[in-house]
Amino acid sequence: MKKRLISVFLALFFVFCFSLPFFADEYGDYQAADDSDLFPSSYPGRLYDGADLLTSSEESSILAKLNEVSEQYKADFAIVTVNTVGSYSANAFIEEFFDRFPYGSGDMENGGVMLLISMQDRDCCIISDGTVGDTIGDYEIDVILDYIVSDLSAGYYSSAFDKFISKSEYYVNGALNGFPFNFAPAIVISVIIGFIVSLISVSSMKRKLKTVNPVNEANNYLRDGSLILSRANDMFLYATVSRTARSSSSSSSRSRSGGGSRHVGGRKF
Amino acid sequence: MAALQEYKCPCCDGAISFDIESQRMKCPYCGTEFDVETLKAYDEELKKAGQNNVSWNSLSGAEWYPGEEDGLRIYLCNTCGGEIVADENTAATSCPFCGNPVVMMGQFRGDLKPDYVIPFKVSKEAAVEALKKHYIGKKLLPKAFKDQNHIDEVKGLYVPFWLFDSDLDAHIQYKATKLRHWRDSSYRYTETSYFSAVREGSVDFRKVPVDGSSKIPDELMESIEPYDFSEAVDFQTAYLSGYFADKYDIGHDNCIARANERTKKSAEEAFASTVTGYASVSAENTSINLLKGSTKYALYPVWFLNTTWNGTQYSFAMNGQTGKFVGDLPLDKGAYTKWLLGIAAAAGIVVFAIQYLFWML
Repeated sequence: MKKRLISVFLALFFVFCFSLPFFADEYGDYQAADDSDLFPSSYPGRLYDGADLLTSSEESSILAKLNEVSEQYKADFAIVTVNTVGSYSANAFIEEFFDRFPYGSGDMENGGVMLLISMQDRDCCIISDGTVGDTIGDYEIDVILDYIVSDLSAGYYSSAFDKFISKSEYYVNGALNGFPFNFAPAIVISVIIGFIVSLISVSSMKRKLKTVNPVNEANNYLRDGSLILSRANDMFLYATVSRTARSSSSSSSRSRSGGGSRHVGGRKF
Repeated sequence: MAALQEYKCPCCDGAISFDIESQRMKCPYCGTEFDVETLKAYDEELKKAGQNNVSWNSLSGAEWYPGEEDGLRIYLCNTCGGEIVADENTAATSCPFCGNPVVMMGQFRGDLKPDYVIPFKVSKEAAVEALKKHYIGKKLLPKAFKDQNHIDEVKGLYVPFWLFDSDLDAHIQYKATKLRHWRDSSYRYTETSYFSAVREGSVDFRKVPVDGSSKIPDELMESIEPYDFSEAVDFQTAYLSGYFADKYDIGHDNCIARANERTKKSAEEAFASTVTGYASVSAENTSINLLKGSTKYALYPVWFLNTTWNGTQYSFAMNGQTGKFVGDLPLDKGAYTKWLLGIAAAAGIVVFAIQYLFWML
């Protein structure tokens, strides 16, 4: 008797549970009431993990690195992650974010470089401004994005952010102190090109030794002017179209009076 | 009529031969020159086709290896009586004892008489000079070759050729492609359009030469082409005096295949040049018909030089009319490696320096 009661009670309970509707919280359905919901209300520092992609230990270690590099070069190195950019495009959002808060101003006289990760459409973009903007232009932004995009796609956000910091620092340092000469790739390129040039020259020297070859045509014996074309007909048969995907990216840049320029570039990951 | 013909100078009875510089018959003893025409009379007999009345003996006495005696004939020199051993195809040679040039008339009787001959235009000295020049500029030729290479033999030989005239009717189908590229924001597109282009027409070839001697490599003869047929003259045996000559031993039926191969390729190329405006053109189907054709037999002049070095024989040939010189030379493996590494090192250093300069700027 008791067992029956328990099973009936459990069955009723499960029926009740499964009949409850569940609300899925998908990023796409999230609607901001207005603009200001998208941005933090006050200056969030150099690392704003709105999309919660990092663990707290990762957060503190990355923030420490950002602060250290920013102090060293007097430029703001910053990283922002959000779940949504609302109706903004990712590039427009990062510009708005950069300007809304005092990045690249005051003590940070050399400007700044900021990375934005938007989980809404899986966009990543970089903005560079001021003197740093002169150093990190559209090409360098592309290089940095190339460098981190595979880590981002795979979800290794902490590693991607470390790479962002090191690559951006490399460019800023290079502009200030000069880039080091890369011996290893230079030697490899020299050896490869050297051998290609050598093979071509030596093959042509070797070919000079062989002068006995069959002649498979009789062009010398064609009577001049004897070619009479009596019928020429060109017929279309069929056409095929092939395509290759292009990496989609967008960028914009402008320079500012008084020195410094701003560059923004982004892509999907 | 004598089996062996020696041309004697009407002045001094010395043996006269064809002189390249003057392009006439010249007596080396008294210096008198004659037009080749004047010796035409000797060739009258050749017009009569008939039994090859040659007084050559079958070999007797000496021992020959099996097979060696096939195709050999012995002639007797009219001047010194010495035995001249020759190939069954030899048509002109010189007596090994007294050096007199002789022409085997029997080799030109009836059907065997050539229609044309291009007399030698470049001299033996020019041939030897050309050999030395052939060595110049060949950086991978072993140094020792130039110094130690001894010329075993320099021979001026008239090579038998079959000359083919053909008026061809061609019907060729070509496959051609056109490309179009465009792009939009997400993709790069390439459209390949395939066309069939048909070309019909006629084209003529004159005097396409094919080597009619099995002893002489065809590749070697093709390499010294082209010959200018406008300098050919009607055949007269007197031209051969002083040089070697062979009659053909491959019939024209067996040679026509090669001529057809070559004219077909040329026809394809010639008509392909009328297929314009495409990214690529290739012949798919070729059908060639012979409308009109004729075959002629001619002797063309070639200087042959044979040398030996390090136990290997090297053969060189020079076009006796144009002077074009060919012959494969050996490769110095050591020099090859040295040049390969040397140039690689030099080019590598230059590329490295350029990269460093770029970095400096």
